[in-house]
Amino acid sequence: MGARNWSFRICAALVALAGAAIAVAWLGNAYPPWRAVRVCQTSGYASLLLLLASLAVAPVLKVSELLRFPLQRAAASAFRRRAGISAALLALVHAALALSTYLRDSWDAVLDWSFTRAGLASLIVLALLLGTSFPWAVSLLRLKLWKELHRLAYVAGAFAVLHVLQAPFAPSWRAIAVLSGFLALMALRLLPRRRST
Amino acid sequence: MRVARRADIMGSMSDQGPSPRPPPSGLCKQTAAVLVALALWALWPGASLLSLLGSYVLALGLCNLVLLLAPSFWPSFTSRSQGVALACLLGLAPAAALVHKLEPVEETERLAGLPEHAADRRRIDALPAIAPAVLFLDHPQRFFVHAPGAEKVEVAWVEGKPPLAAVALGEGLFRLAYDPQAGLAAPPGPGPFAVSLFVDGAVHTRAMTAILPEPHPRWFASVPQAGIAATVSEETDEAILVWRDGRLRRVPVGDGPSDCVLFAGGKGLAVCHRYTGEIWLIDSESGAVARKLPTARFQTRLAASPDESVLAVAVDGVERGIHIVGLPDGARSSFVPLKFSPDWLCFGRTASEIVVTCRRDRTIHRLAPQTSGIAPVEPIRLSRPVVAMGRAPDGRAVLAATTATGAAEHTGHHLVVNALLRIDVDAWRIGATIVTDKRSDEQDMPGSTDRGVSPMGIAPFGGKSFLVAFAGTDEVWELPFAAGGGGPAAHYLHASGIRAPHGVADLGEGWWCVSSPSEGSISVLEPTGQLAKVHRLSPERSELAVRDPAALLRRQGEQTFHEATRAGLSCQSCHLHAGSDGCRHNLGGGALVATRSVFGIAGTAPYLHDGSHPRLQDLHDVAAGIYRGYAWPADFDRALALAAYMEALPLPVNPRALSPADLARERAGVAAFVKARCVSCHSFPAFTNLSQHPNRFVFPEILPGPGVLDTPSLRAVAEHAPYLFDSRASTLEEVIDRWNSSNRHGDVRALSQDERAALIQLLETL
Repeated sequence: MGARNWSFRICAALVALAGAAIAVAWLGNAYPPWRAVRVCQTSGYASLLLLLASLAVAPVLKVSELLRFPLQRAAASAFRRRAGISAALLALVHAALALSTYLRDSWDAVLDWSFTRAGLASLIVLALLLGTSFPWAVSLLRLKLWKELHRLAYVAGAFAVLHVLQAPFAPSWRAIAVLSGFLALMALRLLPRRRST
Repeated sequence: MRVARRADIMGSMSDQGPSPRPPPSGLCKQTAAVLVALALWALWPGASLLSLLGSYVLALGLCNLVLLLAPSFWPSFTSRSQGVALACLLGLAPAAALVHKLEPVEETERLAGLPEHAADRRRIDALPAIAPAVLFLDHPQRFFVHAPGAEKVEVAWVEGKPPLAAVALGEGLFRLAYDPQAGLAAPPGPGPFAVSLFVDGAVHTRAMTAILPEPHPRWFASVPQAGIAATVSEETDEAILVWRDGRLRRVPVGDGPSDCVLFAGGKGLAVCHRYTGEIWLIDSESGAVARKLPTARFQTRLAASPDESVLAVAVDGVERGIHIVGLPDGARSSFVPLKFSPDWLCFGRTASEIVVTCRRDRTIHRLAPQTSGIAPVEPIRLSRPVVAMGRAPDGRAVLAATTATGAAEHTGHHLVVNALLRIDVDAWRIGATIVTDKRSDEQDMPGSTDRGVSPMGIAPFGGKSFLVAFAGTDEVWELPFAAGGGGPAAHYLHASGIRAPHGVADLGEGWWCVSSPSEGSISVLEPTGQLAKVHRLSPERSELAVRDPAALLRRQGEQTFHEATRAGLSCQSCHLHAGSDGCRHNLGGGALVATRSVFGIAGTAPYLHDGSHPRLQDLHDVAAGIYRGYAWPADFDRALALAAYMEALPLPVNPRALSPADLARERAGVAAFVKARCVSCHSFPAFTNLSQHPNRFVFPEILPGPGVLDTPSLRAVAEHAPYLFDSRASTLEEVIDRWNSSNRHGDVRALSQDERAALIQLLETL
């Protein structure tokens, strides 16, 4: 089986797992306000984990090269792309769930509240990246500048981390773990690339 | 090839590997996009990260358009240095704008308080967790420990000392009662320390801070003929006697002395207590305790009848009322129950006429003699509560300090008018209103006020006038009793180093004294207003700066709390004695919100009802901004000092918490608390998870407007009635029933009537 098929299956499985977790959160909580919170949390964390996984590919590749244990670039690239697309799709699901449950009557709060504003910023970036992740879409839009846009992936991550840190129900250990993971990825990106001889 | 061509959602540049750099053929596209984005953002009126992102996306769109429609317009250069030079040139102005906007962005996005907020959250959900994280070494208090699944929890303040057992309340919650007076092991001194939590035998250490308050002499009683005045320091459990001739005596008394009176020509001193349920009668000359008269706990004020036959003690405990105690032996004692919390207290003309104020409903009551005891007459209603009260020697008039004129219902504005009300006790009406706000020549802005702010202490003086101490502007006025008896004579104390004066007393022969709780000092002044003697109960600033800088910062913060802004009000104006004025204010958006007490707010960031201020120090912006700052400069950081002071204000001690507990009922309450999912937001052990929620998510039926609400801690909630964001609920029953029709503020519908009752009982004891 090819590397791209593997990455597709892994990401599909993760998305299915996230969907199942969201369903459990919905069905397992009879009290509506708490159900709203749980489904938002589940979908949000699923999206964030996939985003971090996607962002982790380049640093992991760099580290593997430094350790003289290079990974397959094509497989890693395929996984990164699919994890990113999955993260963006789940982020859209998360936003839809939030707007229809927790923020059902408070859409105006999205722009007024720093917590939701950070989430919105992350969502906008991910939606843009999603929209320019397919060659047919780039051709259709006749975009000349899209690779530059994709450098915003880490900005989306930073906004998502800020969103988690300010979230009403975020347990601090989870928020700190997300922040630590993100900072570690950023630090790994600063590692020098191994010179090929 | 297909993979290489495919647009890649994540970091397409990161895995390309090294490749030969192409010759510089044009301005780097990314640089151009960033420059345009910065320029757009500089023109954007607001400052937020979202607008920065929007600018970048817009810039990318513009660059795309240029490349698509007019590629020839894209600048090109023969060398890289040309491009860099142009980029730097074009980037200067936007970069400057960017730097200018960084601080507003930090504020808008709440980045400033993020570390503090994360630390506070970490403190309450790093299990096992203990709250609050501040231990006061002067009064009884209660802590809660959250240790899910644990059966036994013990707490040791000092390593190696026997731990104190916490009571299991179920659902992983444990309660620890601690009284420093009980002789139990306490931290060796103030400052940070590590507390050991023994959870089923395993030891966990958590960081806490111990605070040992300095002496705080406040209001006086005096006998001018004997040249003596007396006060108490509740924080240090002592009564302080000061004589005109310069003598001072400190007498140790019971736990939490709250007020005192002199009798028998100044030879006797009576002291009431908040935590010791006794009135102590003390010989002033020797300092010996002559008698202890048992009454009730939570005595707040004390007054002696004009004929010195009885004492009246205001009690604000589980039962509220006035104890009448015969002098000198405590005979003929009786209790007059009240439906309100008594605050200031004095006798009228006779022993059977008592004037008493209530802060919460902003009233002054006169209790008149009846055959069956003492019955109230119609109270005088004020727009804002009484801050301090003084009685004329003949009892025909009392002078009350407040922060508004008239009796109209407070409408939510922030207009503070510092005023003195002369109340005619016989006619039972406000005889005269004296507005005290004034402006000196030093202020050149219209409306700026720097005199007569925050009247805090009132005492009769020389048989013809009142002395009034102003904590906001560091001055004492002498006002004639009679209306139209001339203007006030003012003594400015700022130059003498007396800050935020509270109590003032007549020492006879024109001499007087004034207390400064924040400085821990009592100053004796000559008839001319010259400073004759300063009795320092606390170390001087210079000494404190070396010995305990944190205590110095708290002292400066306490002064800032009382200091007047140019708008004529201070923190104290609404947060009366750090509590609440019982009023509702428009804090923006038109919604009226109740003034919160600032006691026990350490570790509950963010602050205000909407959580708009991430750190305590940010609250200082209110004073520095909309209230136009202070009249005088300070040699310390007011914002940090204010934060240090407020962090050191303890939770009020709940009278019910000191009563014997019905443990089964308490456990039923905790179970109901969890069953109704109150615990989701009001989480253990701090009874808040420090979060905010949209108004309509929690109260869709009563808060239809936009905005978010902060989740307050429920500790001491019973002391903070009325309840909810705008004080619409007068009882806790109303909170969970009447104002929760959507059932979103807790799943109360899941509770039986008995569980609801247990829940309310629990809330009353927190």
